[in-house]
Amino acid sequence: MSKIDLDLTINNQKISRNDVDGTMWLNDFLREELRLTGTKFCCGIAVCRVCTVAWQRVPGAHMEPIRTCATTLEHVNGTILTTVEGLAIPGRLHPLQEAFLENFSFQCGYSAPGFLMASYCMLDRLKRSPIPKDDVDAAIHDAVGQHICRCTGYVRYYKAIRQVVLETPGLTT
Amino acid sequence: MWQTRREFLKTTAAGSVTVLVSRLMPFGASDADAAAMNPASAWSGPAGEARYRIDGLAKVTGQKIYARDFHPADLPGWPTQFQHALVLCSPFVDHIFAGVNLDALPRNGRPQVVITGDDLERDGIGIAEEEYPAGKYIVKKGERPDYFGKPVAILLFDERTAFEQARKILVYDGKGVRAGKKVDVPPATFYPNTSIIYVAGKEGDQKFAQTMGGPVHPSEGGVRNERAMKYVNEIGKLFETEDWDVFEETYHTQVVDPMFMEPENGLAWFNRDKKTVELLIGSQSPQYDVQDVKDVLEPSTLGVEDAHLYAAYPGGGFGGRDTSILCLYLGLAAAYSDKPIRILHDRFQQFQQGIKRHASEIALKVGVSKSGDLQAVRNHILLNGGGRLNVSKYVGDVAAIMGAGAYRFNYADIWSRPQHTRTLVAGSMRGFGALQATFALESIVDEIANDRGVDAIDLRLQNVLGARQPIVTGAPIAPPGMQEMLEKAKAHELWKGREAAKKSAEKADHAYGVGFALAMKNYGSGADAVNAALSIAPDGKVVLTSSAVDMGQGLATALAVSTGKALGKNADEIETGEVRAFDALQQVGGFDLQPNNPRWTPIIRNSTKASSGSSRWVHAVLEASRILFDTGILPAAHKLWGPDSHGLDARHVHWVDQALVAEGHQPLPLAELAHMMHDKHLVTATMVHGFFSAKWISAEYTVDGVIQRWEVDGLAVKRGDDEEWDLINRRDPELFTVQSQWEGNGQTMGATAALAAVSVNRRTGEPRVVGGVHLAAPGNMVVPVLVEGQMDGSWAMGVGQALLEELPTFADGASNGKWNLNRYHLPLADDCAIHTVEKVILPPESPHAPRRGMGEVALNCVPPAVANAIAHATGKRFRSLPITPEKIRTALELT
Repeated sequence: MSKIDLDLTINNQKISRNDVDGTMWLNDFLREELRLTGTKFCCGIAVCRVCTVAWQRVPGAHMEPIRTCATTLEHVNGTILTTVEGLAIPGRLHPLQEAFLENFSFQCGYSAPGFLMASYCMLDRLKRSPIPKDDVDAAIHDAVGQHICRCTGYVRYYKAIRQVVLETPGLTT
Repeated sequence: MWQTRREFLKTTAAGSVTVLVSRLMPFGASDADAAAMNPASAWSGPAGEARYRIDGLAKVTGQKIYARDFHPADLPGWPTQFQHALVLCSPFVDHIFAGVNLDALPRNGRPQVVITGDDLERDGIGIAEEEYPAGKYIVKKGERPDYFGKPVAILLFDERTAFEQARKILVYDGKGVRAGKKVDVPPATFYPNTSIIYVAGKEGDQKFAQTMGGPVHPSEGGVRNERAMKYVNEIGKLFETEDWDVFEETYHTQVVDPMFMEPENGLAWFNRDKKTVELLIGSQSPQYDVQDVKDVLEPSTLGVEDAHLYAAYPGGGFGGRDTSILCLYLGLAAAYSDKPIRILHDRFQQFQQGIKRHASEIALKVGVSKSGDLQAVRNHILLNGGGRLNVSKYVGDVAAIMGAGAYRFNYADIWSRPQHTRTLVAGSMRGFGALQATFALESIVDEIANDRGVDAIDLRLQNVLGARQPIVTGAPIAPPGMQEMLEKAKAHELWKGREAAKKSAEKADHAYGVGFALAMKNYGSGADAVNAALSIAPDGKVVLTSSAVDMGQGLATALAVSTGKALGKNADEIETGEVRAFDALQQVGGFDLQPNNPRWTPIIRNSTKASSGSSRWVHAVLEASRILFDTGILPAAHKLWGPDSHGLDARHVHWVDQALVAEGHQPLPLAELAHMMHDKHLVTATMVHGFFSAKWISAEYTVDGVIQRWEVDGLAVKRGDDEEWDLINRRDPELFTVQSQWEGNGQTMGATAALAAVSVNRRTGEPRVVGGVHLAAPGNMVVPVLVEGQMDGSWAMGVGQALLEELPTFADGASNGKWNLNRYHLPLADDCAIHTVEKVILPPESPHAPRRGMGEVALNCVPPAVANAIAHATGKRFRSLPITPEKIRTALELT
């Protein structure tokens, strides 16, 4: 067990802890230590991706989806994370959340945070590098095609994400 | 009808039940923000419609709603310190259990408490071995585990790190369970089988059917059984003597995991001051779970007198959280701890311990006349029921009822037989026996069509049952829409162009094929008990309570919009999974008719199962709403409108923008009516219980001078601000015993169909679904988008069943603690061809068409459609699921 001094930014809040087990899974830290339980746990071996959160190396850097069940604290120490709890801005849901609701995208909802956060990272990518409208389906597939959901058959997740991409100015050319 | 023995036991003891199920109050820091962002009623659309799911906001903002999100500190009055419980299971059945190998753990990483089978025996737990759930919950040292995955100990750890370390060493590394001497494993035994014998008369009438006197057991004695056996023998001879083409094949379906996304987990605490075990769990059957804990622990010497359960939203269910054993182990662990305990299965443990779908072996024989009329079917269905008594008998029942599919046969000899084996526990899962039977029957129909060189849909059109024609039990309950779905599928470009498309792919890397299948299945269990309670506050706020559980299928939303028709608005709040509130009806359960007891009902409470939400649970809300309108709202309107309105009844009024409107009178806002209802001590709350088996029990009730016949068998009301319920005695009830279900067989049927297009890699043998059409006849839909969601999810699950998912049955199966999603392949979006599957939903056949449950019905057509498509593509028939690349390579002799 390697002890580290942890310094993380999660949902715009600084989190500092001394002598933390650096090998602790980020999923355990979020759910069990910080009680940020919006990030889910399912397979624990980085296959299903329900545990995805958005990760940035430094402020302003690209957002990348990471699987918290297979990421240790020492690997993300000093970086910036956004979880589903940090997706909305005060007083307003994120457009992805709105679209997931309006499209009845999820059923049991357990996979929804992972889909949301991976899509959130995709939006960040598209803001920086817009794509032709014809490439949107492929981009969505790249973003969430490996995510597993047992209830929905994926149809309405894709529909909602596509809607947000096409309706958000500046993401497509 | 399927009705577990424990349901029967529970209903007979209902008067003394002191368990309760409470719904969690919202927790979490995000609640205030969420409420500000989106008010609680924002989900609601106009009356009868939803903008989004009623539970949607909580789910999309990551609020704590699943059991896994909670710690003991979140629960009122619980100590904050807790222990982590590890349920250790046996990976073997052919050795004596020689004890838990704690030596594998470092000295400072060992459990503080080890709960053994000896402890349970000493303390009087688990004696009633023949009852459900089967006894001997933990294997004693020196005895043989009787099935793979049977618990051998519960270990309690103070520290999470020690618990995690022990889980790795004892479960994943397989070092936890000591094997003693090798011993013989006795052969599998059988649960009671189901026989359905059907013989048509020459004039299209029935000579012998299940509806003509009930179930039969041909191998047993008695006049009716002997007559059934006579027909079994005669049908057997007909295959040899008649001028039929006879097709005989054997089909297999595999062990499948429900694979709901949230692995099972929960919290429990033995509150010794209250002598109550308190539990938190996400379950389809919280009422059964809490009852089991009470039933098992109360007779023990541990001092448990009661059980209390907090019901969390399940992260998926599909049947796999109906009568799961987890809650019982939560209760056992808590009873031996002085702290709250937490069981937190990871996915390996969930595969190891969770309920599975019954594997099947189906020997099918069909005789068809030269003109293409299906004549006779003999269908022997063997189901692997696993090692612990669960609902296998009822899975067998449903498999048998679906043993002749959706077709007319003059002769049927069907039996299904669940086996008690040494494999993992098999129980309820979406499809429930019908999936297995449908795969076999829809495959052989396809084979017959191919053999005869006729269009596979034409053959089905020639033989399909029409609406209200008798199914194989003799009950005239075939659903409408099957012929129409066949015609639509036949006319679809995918079907019409299949040969040309296949031909054009002949030189390509991938072979192409299109298959079709039709599925009929019951929705509802055949004997369904439901309830609802509805109240209206002085400001017009409507609160709905139900014992039903929303496991993702959208039932909470469907229930909440169902007040719209009668009350002019959707429910503002809903509490699901609530049980104790309905004790106010003071009902007495039991299958024997009690005609003079106004509190009698055949079953008091059911779990949420069998795609019964829209048809059964919604009915209770509709009736509770209608009664509240007739006895509260309308009398209030009469008072507000004055004496000249007293002749107005429900036929003369309607709602516009939450105001009651009648010609010649001022519109009355609901809030104004509600205020009057409270002010004048009119009815402001209704509570109902309903029972359905082919029909609803109905009765006449008198409430404050209003005399009406309602389709409920229990009713209570509150007036004004009263705290207490006023029980209303029924009069002139149309009661029936559960036995009388055979008149209509208790069941209600729905149907779906699927066209599936597949490609098959000619080099690797890999099959992929590349398109399809999913057809359904759901009747009247409560929330159409939820029905579509059920179809989408069923399509994906069907693809997994057909092509991807499989667990080995015995020692290499999930009991070894090494199974996870790296080896068990669930369909991804690409596997489901999500951009190229079209949904076709038939309109209701009439304004009064029933609301047909679609969760299971929509699934069962998909696997055989995919299998038939692969047969079309490859020219080879695959009779064993899943159809893997390896099987295809072998069949096509690819190297």
